[in-house]
Amino acid sequence: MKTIRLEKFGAMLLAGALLILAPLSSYAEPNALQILDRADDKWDLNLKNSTTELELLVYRENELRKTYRMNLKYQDTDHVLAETTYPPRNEGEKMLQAGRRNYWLFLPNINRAVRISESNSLSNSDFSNTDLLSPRLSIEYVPTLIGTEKLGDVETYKLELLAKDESTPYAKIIYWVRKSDFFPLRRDYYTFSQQLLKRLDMKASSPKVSGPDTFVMSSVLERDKKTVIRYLKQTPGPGFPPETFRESSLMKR
Amino acid sequence: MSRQVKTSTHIVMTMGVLTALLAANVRAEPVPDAPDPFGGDDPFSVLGTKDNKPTPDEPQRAARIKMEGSVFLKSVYNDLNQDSRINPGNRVMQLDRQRQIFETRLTLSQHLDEAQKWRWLFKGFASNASYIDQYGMSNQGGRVDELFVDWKGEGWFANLGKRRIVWGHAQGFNPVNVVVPPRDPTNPSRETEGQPMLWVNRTRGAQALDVIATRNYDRNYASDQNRMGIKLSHAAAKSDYALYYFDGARYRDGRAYERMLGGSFSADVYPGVTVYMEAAHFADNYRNYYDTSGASTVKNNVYWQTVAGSTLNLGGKRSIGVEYYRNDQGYSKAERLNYFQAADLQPPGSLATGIARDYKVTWMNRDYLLMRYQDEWRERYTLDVSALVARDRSHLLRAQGNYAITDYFELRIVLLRNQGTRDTEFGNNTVSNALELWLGANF
Repeated sequence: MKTIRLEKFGAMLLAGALLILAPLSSYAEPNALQILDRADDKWDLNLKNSTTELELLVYRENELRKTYRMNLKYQDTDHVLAETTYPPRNEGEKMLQAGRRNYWLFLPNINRAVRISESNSLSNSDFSNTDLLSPRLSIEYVPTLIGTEKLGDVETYKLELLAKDESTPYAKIIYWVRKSDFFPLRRDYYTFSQQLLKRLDMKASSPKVSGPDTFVMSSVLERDKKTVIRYLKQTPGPGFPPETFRESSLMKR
Repeated sequence: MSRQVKTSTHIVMTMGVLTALLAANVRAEPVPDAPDPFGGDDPFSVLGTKDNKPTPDEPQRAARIKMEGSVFLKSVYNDLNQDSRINPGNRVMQLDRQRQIFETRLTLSQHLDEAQKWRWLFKGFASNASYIDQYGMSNQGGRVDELFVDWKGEGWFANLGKRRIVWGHAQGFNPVNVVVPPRDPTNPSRETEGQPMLWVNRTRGAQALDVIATRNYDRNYASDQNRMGIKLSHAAAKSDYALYYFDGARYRDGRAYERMLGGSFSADVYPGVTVYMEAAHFADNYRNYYDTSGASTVKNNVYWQTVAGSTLNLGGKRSIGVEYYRNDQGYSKAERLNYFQAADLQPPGSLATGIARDYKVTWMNRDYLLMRYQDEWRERYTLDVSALVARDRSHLLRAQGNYAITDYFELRIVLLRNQGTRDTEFGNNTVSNALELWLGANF
């Protein structure tokens, strides 16, 4: 009888402890996927259904070599239209993401749209199409929280993202996210041969901005080269008609 | 096993689960990193200390006219092929060895309403030189390439006016591109003059239907007959397909128009690898073929033109492409030899009515292979090299290099080289080698 009571008491004690500690475990620290999603929200949700004017600056040996300006119509991470507005030589070129891994380039001088790869370089910068057009990573990568780290004097979560399959542009991404507000700070991109390929650093240009609006991509392969993307102006909107993000629309407007 | 032991086991297991739950939230200690491969500098230092962001332009108002233009000074040096059986000793065509050409293009467009549904566009071309294109037509110094009004609504699009339109997925040869074919397929820029058309498009989901009514279309741009085209396309996630139909009124001399039925598709088969195919079936063929006596005949039969190709992205803007082109309208080996023998008999200065008009690049053989390499580096230099090899083993090599002096000015060098024996297509091109030097300004 005593034994049974002891059993019941032990079981009740454990159940109570579980009930108390389980919620604590989920609220105390977010898991890797939650951190990733909240970091990506900072970038992705800021752009959602908006028109963004941006400039892409290519530096070599700390000297500005080339400036591009683009107009970005961003519906979601799978539907983006980027039109080059500067320099005049490239004016009217359009890059379209018409769905997951469905990229098109429109060249106005030959009036033709051609299929391109997500790994294609964006205007021959260090950014690939997918780096700029698809900021949300949780769709194609499995995150693991591998620790915390100080980036400068900022406390960050350090995530390791592994590609779900080999069709993704990168095998692995190490992602640093600021602990205080889940602001994305840095990504290191690795090839399938586990070589570090390039690094993306992000910041907000002013405290009023909630998400990143300045991006610097540095390449291991070309050490003297850096590419900067800066958002100049964002105009939120109610959304775009579906045909905006169709290949058949590229030739029309 | 006694109840006490069972209970103890349960307790131990439960404690284990609890410990694991808690341990999952214990922060991992930072692992000391290897030296930073990027040098550890502030990556944002390239931007300087002050915020030098430009003020973005005001949003385009309906009344604002948008202008784009380019001006080119072009020097062309031709090494004429004196042994060409089409133009022996330059006596038939009397081509220039050297030309200085001034070209300008201007595009004006304006949205007519705040919602930007309505727009008009003008695109003009002017040159101080005229030249004879592959159809034997003299291209005068100026032309209106496009002049139209278009409208877009939800799922709908309409155009009225002179406009360029490209059909097909292939990146070199486009058999289905019959609505507004390029004036000169040997011109790699493939800029072309539009046709007056009413074009209505309906897009719904992944499907799109284009209906085109056009006039003044002909192979020699001299007809005023009505033509009509339909394109039905479907865009899937990693591939897309299209079917085409183009037909119209008879020619003025009573011949039926060469009705075209075609199809094309492109697909991403692997990251960075795109494949495409295109095929067109023509109901009539009015091309001249030659017999052993040199007499020309027209064998009015149906024929196919097909293309299969692939492009491979090698990173950045470096890519290679390969394309196979089958033209059933081309000459067989015997027909080609007969043609050249007939060409040997043509009198000087007979281009307007003569056999030289039947010499067209990519029409003299039935099989062609096109290979292309493109690259860009240091934000200023681009290279585009291509080789077109015909079944008769003659070939055309083309290399183009661009240097962007500034955002507005560019230099361009184009080298062309036709090679082959006296019984081959490119061996008989009227120009053996050509050098073009361009200085251009874009604004």
